[in-house]
Amino acid sequence: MPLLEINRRECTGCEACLEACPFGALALDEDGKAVVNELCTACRACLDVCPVDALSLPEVERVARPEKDTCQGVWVWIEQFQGQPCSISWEMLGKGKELAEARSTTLAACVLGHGVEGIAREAIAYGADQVFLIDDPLLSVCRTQPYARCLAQLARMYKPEIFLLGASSRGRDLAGAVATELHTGLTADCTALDIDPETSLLRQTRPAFGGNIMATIICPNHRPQMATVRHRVFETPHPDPLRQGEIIGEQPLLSEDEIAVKVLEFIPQKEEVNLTEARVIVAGGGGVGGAEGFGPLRELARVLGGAVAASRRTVDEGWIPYAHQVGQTGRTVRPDLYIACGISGAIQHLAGMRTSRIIVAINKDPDAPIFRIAQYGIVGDLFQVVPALTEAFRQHLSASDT
Amino acid sequence: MAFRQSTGTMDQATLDFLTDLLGTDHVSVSDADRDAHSQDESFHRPHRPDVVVWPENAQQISSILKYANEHRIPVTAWSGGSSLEGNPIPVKGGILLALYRMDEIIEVREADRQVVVQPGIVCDELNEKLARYGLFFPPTPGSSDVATIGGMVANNASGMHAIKYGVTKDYVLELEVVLPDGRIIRMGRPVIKSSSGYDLVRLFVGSEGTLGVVTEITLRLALVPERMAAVAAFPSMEAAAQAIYEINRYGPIPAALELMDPQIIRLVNEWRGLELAEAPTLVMEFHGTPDGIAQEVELIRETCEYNGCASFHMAASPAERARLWEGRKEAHNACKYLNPGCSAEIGDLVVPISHYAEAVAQAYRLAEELGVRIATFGHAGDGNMHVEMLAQADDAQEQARAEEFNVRLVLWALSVGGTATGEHGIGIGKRQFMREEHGLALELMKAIKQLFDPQGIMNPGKVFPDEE
Amino acid sequence: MGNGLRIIVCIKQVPDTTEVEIDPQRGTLIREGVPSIINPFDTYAIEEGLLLRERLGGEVTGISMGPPQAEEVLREAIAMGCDGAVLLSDPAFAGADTWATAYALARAIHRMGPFDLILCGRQAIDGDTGQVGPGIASQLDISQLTYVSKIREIDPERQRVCVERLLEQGREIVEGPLPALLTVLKDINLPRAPTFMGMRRARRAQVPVWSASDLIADGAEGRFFGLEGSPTRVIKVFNPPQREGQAEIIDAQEVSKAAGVLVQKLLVDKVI
Repeated sequence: MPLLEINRRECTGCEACLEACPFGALALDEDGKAVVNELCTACRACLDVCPVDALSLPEVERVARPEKDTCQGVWVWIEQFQGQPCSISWEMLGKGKELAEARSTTLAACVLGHGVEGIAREAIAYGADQVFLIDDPLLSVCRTQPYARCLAQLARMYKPEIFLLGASSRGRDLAGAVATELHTGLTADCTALDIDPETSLLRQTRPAFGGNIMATIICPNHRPQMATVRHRVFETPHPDPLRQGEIIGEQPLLSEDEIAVKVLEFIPQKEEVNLTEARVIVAGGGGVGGAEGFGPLRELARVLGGAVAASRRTVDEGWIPYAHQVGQTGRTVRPDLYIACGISGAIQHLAGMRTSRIIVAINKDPDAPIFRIAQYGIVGDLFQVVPALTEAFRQHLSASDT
Repeated sequence: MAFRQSTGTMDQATLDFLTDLLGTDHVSVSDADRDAHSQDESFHRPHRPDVVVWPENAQQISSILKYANEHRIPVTAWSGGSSLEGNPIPVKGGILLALYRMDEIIEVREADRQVVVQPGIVCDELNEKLARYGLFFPPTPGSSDVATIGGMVANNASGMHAIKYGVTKDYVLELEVVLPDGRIIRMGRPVIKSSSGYDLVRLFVGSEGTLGVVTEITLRLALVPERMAAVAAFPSMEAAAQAIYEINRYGPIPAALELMDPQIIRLVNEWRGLELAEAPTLVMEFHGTPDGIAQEVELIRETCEYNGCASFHMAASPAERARLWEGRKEAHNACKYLNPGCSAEIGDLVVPISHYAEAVAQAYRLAEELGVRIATFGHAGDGNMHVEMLAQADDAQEQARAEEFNVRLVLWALSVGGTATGEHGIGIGKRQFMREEHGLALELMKAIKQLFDPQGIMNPGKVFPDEE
Repeated sequence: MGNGLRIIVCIKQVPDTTEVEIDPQRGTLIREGVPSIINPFDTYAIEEGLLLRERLGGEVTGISMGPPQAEEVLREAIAMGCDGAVLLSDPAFAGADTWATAYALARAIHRMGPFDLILCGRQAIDGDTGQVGPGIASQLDISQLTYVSKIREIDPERQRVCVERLLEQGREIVEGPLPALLTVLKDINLPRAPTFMGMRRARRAQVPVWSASDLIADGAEGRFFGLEGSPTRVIKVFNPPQREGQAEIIDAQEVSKAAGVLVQKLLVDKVI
């Protein structure tokens, strides 16, 4: 039985719902009335646009009010690698604090590992009121089975209402396993999280369809409400080393011989940031003037942890090797931040970087085509602007360095 | 030529006309945009157009050509800009028609094995979209990751599969073209064969944008075959040449048969970190049914071993085959980027296949005589040799020697029945050979050009030598 | 296990999100003319299955959950070289979130009988969650190894597999038992295009369609399917904020001040 119910008497055949549906589930029949097929996912996009309220989702409406919640507390998994905490987890704690306050409840951190009590204390400094700590050799390296079992075990014992994990590779791997084991809902890569004041539910917003639409999701009847969030979506809170909190130690309920997966080796990534995977790219064009001109750009890239790219002109002139070339005959990149220095914005170059999330253009020529596709522009001499930027970034980043 | 001379800037009246027709964000006179469309992948001197426009359909192009024809303004069409002979460089300024935003697949006709596309779509992207149907467009130039169908049609492009599948001309069934006077004409029929009337389609394919602007192309497609690749290294060029001769003469004919000389291999090893043996190397591909290609590979292996090959390796999976071909595909880039500050000009002569080995020997003889740095690779299966001529850009002497080498080698190729260009087109650089290669037939070509483009506005300065 | 590996590949039919455009007037999705394709990441999983079969023998079977038209992508998988495929299709599965999807797929895989390896793409380009793979592994109580960039070794006799996982800080070499579920990255191989031989086979192939009652007869719980079985609900769908046409030009009279302003804006945008 289809999820969407269409009141044929009310339906005027205006087709507003057809256009709103991202899944192509609606069409008009021979009588000019809307009909729905099995592609409907109950996303509600059509309900909002129908001018005569002819659409409803009775199955969905039937969802009961959330049961009296015996679960409470907002939890965050603290990811650590080789004994070092991952900063994405501090970002989760920052957001978690906000959610906990909105729910008038406590914020707790889950720390798993071996020899990681220091991380538990750091979690308190970053805002956790409690830390659930399982410190055991079998947890020294992150493996799905023991980690998922331990987190699920803690969740069953202490019943949180919300559980956040950073959407790193390990976080996403783990979250899926934990959510399935706990038979609860999980929303990945959220870009916004907040508490609905009426229902007290966690509203989880995330992009879908390759980022072409946004969806808000709830988990009304299952606990904990789980979500993962990518690095740098939320801000890192300022740690307060004087904060007090409770560390609750637990033992794992499984032993090493029950775990069939073994990590044999870890091979760290090479120093140089891969251009195609870089989140931040600083690129130089004709305005750079020569091989030495790339110096300030390299410095900026270093401070930002990014890669250096180049336009074809600079490569042809021999100022920088071809491996850095971005554009039609070089590489295509899609970083979060692309800083184009002294690049005019020739079409062939744009082809390689136009889908960058944020483009900053620095150029002496206010009419340079690059300003047409940039979000931010500075008209000026890159040899003055770039060092100033480097300094400004350096100041900011050292302020919140973990 | 009868067109209006460029003063370096477009007059306001024309700019107004173009802006009214296309909208302000489809017209540009900015330095950056004009520079971006002033140079292709060749080392010919760049030249800026007076204005760059991005039309969206044939109707707009028709209005532009009609206007340009009346006012005698040069018009140059530009699609991928990946050509090697300066083919789309607007040497007389004027209007540059940038077509790469017209890059849609209009229709896939599965049952007929045809596809209808706009000129701006990139060759590899087209084949990626066709993969799910088990269909592909066989002519794949080395630059297939940036070359567009429009450019391939303009140049009658082809690549390593020409030996088995032929060239672009063999796959174009129907064209929609805007003529210099603005008329929009369709030519050809979407059928496999026809003997009706004069073959205007094949007149346009390879005409390098000098007769009109192609706005829609119907292509015939082939079935994606089972594939296997093989590579054989030889102790000497003579041995490799013998093997090539026997393969070409006695078969079976592979789907690709490429020869790389040790110099190119050395460059490619350095460029890509490969470890190919630095010896004359044949890279081959076989297409067909599983048993069929297995047998072909065995027969070719036999031929290679008989002719003394030092090694013979096979690759079946896409990843392995890609690695094998990586070297060959990157040959030009390796030359170019490992020799910064050099111009890496690339010759494209074709000789009857019986002369192929001789052509390679001739190239090296001449290179030694003139003191020119070269590396050769090519489609040994169709007699098409590419010679990379390296000369320091700021060394006039070396440039002159390279140019002399080029001319003498091409003239030699013509003397044994060859052609100056197998794939890259005439563009700017090969005009000097037209008279020698075609003789009186060149007069007929000029007459045809005059018929289609009496004002001479379409891509001036190309194909025809500057005589008189 | 007998000869070789019994491999199952999970496949999804998705709209080609790279072709989706936003209507500039209304800011809504233009769905017309957007083709349905096989999830690109799944083609890497299929290819890996085929490569393993070529090396070690065995059988590769595709499975998909979707509306009846999802059969198209299963035929594509067969055209690439899979030995067969199963389509899970039933109105009862509609509206499933990742939990309910993983449950249904796991039940179907259970019904397919013993297996050595389940291969999944890293994520689907419409949902982008990457959760169904781990969900299936959890339901079936088998090991999961995600973000696999290379299968180093696989031994059906000893029932062990060794892989390379590509994580943020570098590569992890992990060994685990079979049966296992792997999610694979694009780094792992280069998927083949279907050849005419494969297209012929796909044309003749029979793709059985399993319904909810088929799974229930095999022991599944119907209330865990579809919308009813989904712990999460979508309550709203809206359009992301549009990219501005014009650049915001920051006054650079005083360069260090301009730099500071830019840094602040980038912080707000969350790119640094």
